Amino acid sequence: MDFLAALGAIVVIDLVLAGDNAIVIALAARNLPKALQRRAIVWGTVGAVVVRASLTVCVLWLLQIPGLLLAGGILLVWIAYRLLAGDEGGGKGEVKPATGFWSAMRTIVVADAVMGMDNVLAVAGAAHGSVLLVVLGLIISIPIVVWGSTLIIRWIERFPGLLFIGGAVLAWTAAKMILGEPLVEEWLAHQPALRAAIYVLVIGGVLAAAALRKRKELFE
Amino acid sequence: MKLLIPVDGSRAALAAVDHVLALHRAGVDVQAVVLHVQPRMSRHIAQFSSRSSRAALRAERSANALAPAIEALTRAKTPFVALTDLGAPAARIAAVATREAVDEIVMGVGRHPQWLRWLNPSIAQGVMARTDIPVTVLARGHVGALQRYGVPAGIVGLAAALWAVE
Repeated sequence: MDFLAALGAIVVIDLVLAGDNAIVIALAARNLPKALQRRAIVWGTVGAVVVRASLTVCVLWLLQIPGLLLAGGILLVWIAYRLLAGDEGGGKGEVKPATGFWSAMRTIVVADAVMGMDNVLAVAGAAHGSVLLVVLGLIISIPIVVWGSTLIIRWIERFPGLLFIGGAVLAWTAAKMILGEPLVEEWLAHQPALRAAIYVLVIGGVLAAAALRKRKELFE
Repeated sequence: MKLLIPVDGSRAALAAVDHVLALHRAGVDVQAVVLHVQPRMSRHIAQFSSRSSRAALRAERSANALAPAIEALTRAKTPFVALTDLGAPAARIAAVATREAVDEIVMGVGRHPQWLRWLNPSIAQGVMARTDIPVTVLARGHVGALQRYGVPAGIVGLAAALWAVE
């Protein structure tokens, strides 16, 4: 049950945090000839999975250092809030369009490594130190993201509640990381009510803060 | 009568088009302004893509979102112009309505449960908060039991199961 719950959390995290990555993959390949587009997407995705899995394993290892699980958990609370509250956007970056197979692949892999850092932290937090969970989660979710991103976006537009479930899973993972920090764990070992209160506070706080921010943006 | 119809590619948004077509059939002198607003892409996407690629993707998305409305208005021989804009949807819809001097904004929205409306308020609410131009809101679809009760119950059930595992 614990394994399945963690795998489910990892797949949900991969899916909800991958929207921008899917767009970058599509943009990187769109200027290539049709025949090369598919190859660039497939091999770019393979490269991205390998890089992302390696980074996640590194973070799994880093999270064993005292204090980093707590710091990672707090950072993840912010990531969950940003996911739900939205990004203002408006970037004005300008890179040359990828016109060859290798430049498209390089863009996909580098962009995924840079943009996937939030994902890496969240997945490492949910994986309880298991490399198998990380790899399984990526194998299940990345093909869905690459080839089913349009479907995911349509589902989220039709059932906006799905995004909030994703945000709640991220917040739950953040609370779990905070409570999993050895110092905190020891302190709260005999206080189950306080542990439950921290879960409620983190998940409820993220959802409420994001909703208030959305209302503020919409009405002001 | 100049009417602004914001569309986002959803089926619910087409309720506004149906309403304007009904007015046209009833003999009202209607001039439609169909608008598709896209939020700006995140700075991460901008960092790894060319301006021309982003513009092409935006144009493609707008064309897809506007197509059903354009098709219906063309078929009914209702005069219209199609516009696209970029930015926060509620703010841009209100701004375009003022710029185009429309008499009314007609919006089709999906029905969602109260808990979801609190977490994710409707763009129509934001438009009404920003403009004095009359806004007609037409709701489409229905709130299924899954959305109204299933999702909250599922979240509570999942939380209980995870808590039990703990």
